[in-house]
Amino acid sequence: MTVSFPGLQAVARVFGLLGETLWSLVRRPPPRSAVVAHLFNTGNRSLVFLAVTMGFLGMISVYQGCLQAMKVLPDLSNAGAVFIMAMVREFGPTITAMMLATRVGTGIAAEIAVMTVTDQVEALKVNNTDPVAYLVAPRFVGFLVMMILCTVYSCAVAILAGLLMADLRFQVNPNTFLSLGFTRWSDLSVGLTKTVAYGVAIPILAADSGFRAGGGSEGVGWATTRAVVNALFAIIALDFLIAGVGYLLVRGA
Amino acid sequence: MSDGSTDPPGSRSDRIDAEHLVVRLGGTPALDDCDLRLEKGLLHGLAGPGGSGKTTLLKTLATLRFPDSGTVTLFGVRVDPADREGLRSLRSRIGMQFQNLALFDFLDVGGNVAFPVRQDPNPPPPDVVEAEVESLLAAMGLAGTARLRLNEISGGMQRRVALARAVMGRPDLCLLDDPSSGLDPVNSSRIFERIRAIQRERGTTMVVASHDVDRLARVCDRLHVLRAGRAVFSGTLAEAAESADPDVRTFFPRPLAA
Repeated sequence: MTVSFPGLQAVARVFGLLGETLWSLVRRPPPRSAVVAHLFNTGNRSLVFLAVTMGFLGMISVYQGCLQAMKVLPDLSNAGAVFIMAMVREFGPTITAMMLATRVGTGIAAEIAVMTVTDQVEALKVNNTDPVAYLVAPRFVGFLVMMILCTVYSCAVAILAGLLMADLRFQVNPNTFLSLGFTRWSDLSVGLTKTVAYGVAIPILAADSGFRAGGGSEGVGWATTRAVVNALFAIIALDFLIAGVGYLLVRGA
Repeated sequence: MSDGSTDPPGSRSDRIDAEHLVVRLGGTPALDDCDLRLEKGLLHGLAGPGGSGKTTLLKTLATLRFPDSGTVTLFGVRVDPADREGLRSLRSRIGMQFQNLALFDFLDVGGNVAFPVRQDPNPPPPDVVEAEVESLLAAMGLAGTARLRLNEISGGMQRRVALARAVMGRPDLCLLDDPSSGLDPVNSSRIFERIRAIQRERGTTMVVASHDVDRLARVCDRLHVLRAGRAVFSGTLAEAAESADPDVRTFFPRPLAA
């Protein structure tokens, strides 16, 4: 009797694609021009989108946080320190990943899906070109590098927006707000671990959705939808997992 | 792996054949106990009603599909899906034009034609590649189009670009899937003439699947007819006209006496 576990098969397939991508990077790094193009597409073209999203998120978070804190204790001297710690450890990487998954991950899935349904992926194979090395590897490198840089940028924008809100609305001194008193190295390392994990997961899940596309334009639509749903699910799951492991490892620190 | 082009005709390394092929697509057999033998250096025509398995057979010969059962032997080497190096080596000797062209929309015309050569681990110098691309495009009636994007040329021109890409790397086996689809009769005749000219000049083993059986029969050395995933005829045009199979005679009727 054959027992089928579709969920496990999907996980094995995604890890297989990740392994193939890493192996292709080791065997033959992608052309610099292809990587630069994907760095530009992932990073530079996301700057305005991220600035607007993270700016508003920073302002709303500080506004709501300070408003609630004022009801309990009319002292906002630690508002900035708490906000920066939460941004570095949690919101910066996670919200940035969600934004890039919707803007860039869907693009990767759609490009590869169109190539799959129009036989371009098979044309690559018959021309002795590994589709994973040619299509996935440069996008993977571009996304991973830009995920890290965009997270730093997003945190900076959100903290700056939060600082403006704290100063203008609640008269918190900017020097007091920009306190790293609550931010430890462990917060930074957890945030960085999440960033790298998201940077690995999103392009691989997007490429996997693209390669599995079938059935013309409808298949391309499904591939993009599947890419964003899988990416968001992975982000939440990885966030939970890394946060849990992070708290266990640095408990009491 | 031996180089088939240097071996005497009929030697083991010439062998291109499929035996008892069964290929299922979504559970339905697209090829069902299909046998096919291709002689080296000949132009083979593949005919059959829509859905008879022509595209699947070409993709299986191109090592893009792997049979559920049966074997494919290319240049004397049995295709093994698990042997990645072996597949790479085989694919370096195969060129294919896809039914829906499958041109790379992120490259211009010249980039598409040059693609098989540029992907070679040891590609020739760029000026040599460019000269060959220009020469091939000129032979296809596409001189001066190398820098154009695909959306700047007509569907018929795109079909010729796809044909140029398929033959660019001077493959030992060239598989062409419906090369005249959607073309007017004049361009259709021209494309078959070009295919014949290239095949004669290079001595390539070519397989052309087409619904345009009249023009196909005019240029091919051997004809193969598929029906419901099975090869029901292999032979010359004269043999097809004398075939006992009514479907084969329908595709290739005896020419009317003058």
